Amino acid sequence: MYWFVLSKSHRRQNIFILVASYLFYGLWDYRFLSLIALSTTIDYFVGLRLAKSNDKKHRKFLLSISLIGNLSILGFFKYYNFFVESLAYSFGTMGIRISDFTMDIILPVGISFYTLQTLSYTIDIYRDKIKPTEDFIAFSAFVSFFPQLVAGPIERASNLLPQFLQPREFNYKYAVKGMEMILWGLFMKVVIADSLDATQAYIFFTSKNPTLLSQLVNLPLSTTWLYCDFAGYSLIARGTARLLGFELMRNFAFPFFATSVSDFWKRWHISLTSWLMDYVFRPYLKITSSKNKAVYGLFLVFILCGLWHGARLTFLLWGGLTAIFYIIDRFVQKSIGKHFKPQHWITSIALSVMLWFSTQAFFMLSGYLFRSPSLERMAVLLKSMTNVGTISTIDWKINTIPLIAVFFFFGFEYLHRKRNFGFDLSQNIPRVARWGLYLLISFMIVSYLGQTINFVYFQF
Amino acid sequence: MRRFLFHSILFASLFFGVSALIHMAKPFYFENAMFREKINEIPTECPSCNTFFIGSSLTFRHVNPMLFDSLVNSSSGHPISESYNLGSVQVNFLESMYLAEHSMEEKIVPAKSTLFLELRPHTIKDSIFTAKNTFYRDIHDLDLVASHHQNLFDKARVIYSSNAQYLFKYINGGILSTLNKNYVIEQLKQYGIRGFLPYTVSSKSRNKKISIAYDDIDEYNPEHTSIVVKQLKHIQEIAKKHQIRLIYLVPNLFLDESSDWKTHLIHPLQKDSSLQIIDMGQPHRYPRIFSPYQYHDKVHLHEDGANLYTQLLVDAYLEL
Repeated sequence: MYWFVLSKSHRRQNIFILVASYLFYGLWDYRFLSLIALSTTIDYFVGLRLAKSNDKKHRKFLLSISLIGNLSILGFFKYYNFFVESLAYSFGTMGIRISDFTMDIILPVGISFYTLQTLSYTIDIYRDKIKPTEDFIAFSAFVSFFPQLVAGPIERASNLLPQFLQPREFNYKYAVKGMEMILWGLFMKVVIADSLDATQAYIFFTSKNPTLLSQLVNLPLSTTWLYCDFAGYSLIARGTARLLGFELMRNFAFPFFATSVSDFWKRWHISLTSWLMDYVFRPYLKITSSKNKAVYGLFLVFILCGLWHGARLTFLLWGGLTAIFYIIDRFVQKSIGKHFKPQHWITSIALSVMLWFSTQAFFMLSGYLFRSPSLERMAVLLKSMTNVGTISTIDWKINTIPLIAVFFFFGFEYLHRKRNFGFDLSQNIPRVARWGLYLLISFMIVSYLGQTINFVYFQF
Repeated sequence: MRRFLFHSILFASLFFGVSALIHMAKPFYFENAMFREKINEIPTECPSCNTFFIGSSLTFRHVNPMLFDSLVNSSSGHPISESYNLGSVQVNFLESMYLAEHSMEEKIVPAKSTLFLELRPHTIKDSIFTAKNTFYRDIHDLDLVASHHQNLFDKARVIYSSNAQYLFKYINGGILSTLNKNYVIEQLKQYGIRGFLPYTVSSKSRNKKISIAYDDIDEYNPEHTSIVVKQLKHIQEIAKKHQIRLIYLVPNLFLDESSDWKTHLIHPLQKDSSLQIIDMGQPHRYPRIFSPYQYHDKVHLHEDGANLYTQLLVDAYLEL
């Protein structure tokens, strides 16, 4: 219908996308559609007014409407209970008891994603980087675009909005790549992430006394699980968007091949980290004159990154720890660059392997804070590490096939690490071989379609 | 666009065609190498068997068919028993249900037989085996299969996914099967009698004290009770249809009587006259099979323990 009936007018296609997006979101909870509509309306009108105004003060006022409006909605739904509980706790430590004002608030799915997306629109207009659109339908479709509405990538108006404003044509090769993205995304989610889900959840949430060895084995497995779950969704979103003629930004760029922490964060959840760099870190550097402003800026960015994931102390600490790792890594990398120039290819390889290992180890270790549901649980896990033991058969039971799938997956990722995504097959591969691979992966996906496990980033 | 649609349809046809071929070729027990081995042996080893045991290694290692038959046949008022142990290693609750259902439907368990089916809690540990299960991938799949009111797509998904798994499970079970599993099957072929292979006991290990594993009762999810009850009755209906006497057998699980599983599932079921249950998981009633000296490892009895278990099982069976 999209390509056959509505192909003559991109405006009709936009209406179709808008209706589909609102339906998609409304099927989860129609009440929260009003929040998307409210954000859309505020930013649409703020954007138009910003373009018309030359008065600095007035422009700042308009931008603050957008910022306060969007961040208040996000703050209320995501952080209200956290702040009330923290306040009550702080007063409690001083001996003052205040009554509990917490509320039973449901977190609207995708609110953290579309809020940042729509904020980028007004901020970019304020900075005169883009011009506002007068097409309300196109703008609404941009904010609520269903492939990436609930778990990103967090798009920029400068990239996605112009695509809604121009006619789109179906392109065979483009659509085939989209299908490959969907296939690979499903493989990552269904075959790998879902197979590893029970084990990592058992260690992090249920197991009473997981041994050190079980926990060590769980580190790379749970990281692979997180990556495949989230990056899998991003790929499915990109592939679906491609089938509709849109190009979404890349959200992951083979982070497990990064050899420094800074490189890692340029490859992991790119849409969020680049958003924080563009709209928090760089503006912060501009307004601060402190000698250590880059260090403070990094702390600010990663603590906000932690808080963006949720109102939890472990996320906050995770942000702080990541910033520390980031700074240590920068220092080490600089020192190595200054004082150590490998003369032999073996030392060069050894150095790369060492840097790669330390980068991945940093991320996996900080992941402990990220995954632990509470500090108390984190303490239990750390305490049980004194129990060296063996890999308990109860703690760690995975079938051979998912493990083979993990190797198969990383093999493909490595082979295609210079390309767009892990299954970005070359057109030089004969069609029979490509179709054989499509069939193989489809079989694996279907064979593991058992239980319904939500994407982990839906909760953020 | 037309080229893309044409290729999409071609791919879908190919995919479903290959799936259909796999579906036609596979037997229901395809991934369970030990079960397959036993089924192949029945026609030669025990062609007129009329009593069968299906379950995990707790059945495989504990129920001695020869002893069972001699004790049952020496009592009066019971038809002559010829039994076969179909218990297999690494089979969880969901797979036992699956194997029992299909063994009856495909007449591996013939009409007028007695079938003992192992009944255990489904725990989070079982979910870790998700990829292993053939038909019932998840506890909720039981509901999908048993219920006539679920939507067709969900049902098709469950059934279809089991078919598509064949290719991979075959590779897994055949080529990549663990050495240990193959070793046990080899041992069974050499020393097993009617599917039973106990852990041998030496004079040294006879007096060895083993600490028995307390089953992790906290992990049972009471929300699953209604699904399990529905499935147990569903299998009971199949047994009735095929004129098979079905007896659910709770093995020697070291469970507290006040555990969730017992309280929510077993105790109410024991009051239900349409189901027959033998509960061997009662340390206060059968203290001898919970003696640490009867065990080979944390959960499995050794040969002496298995013979004692079989004796007590026969007593309970004759009391039914």
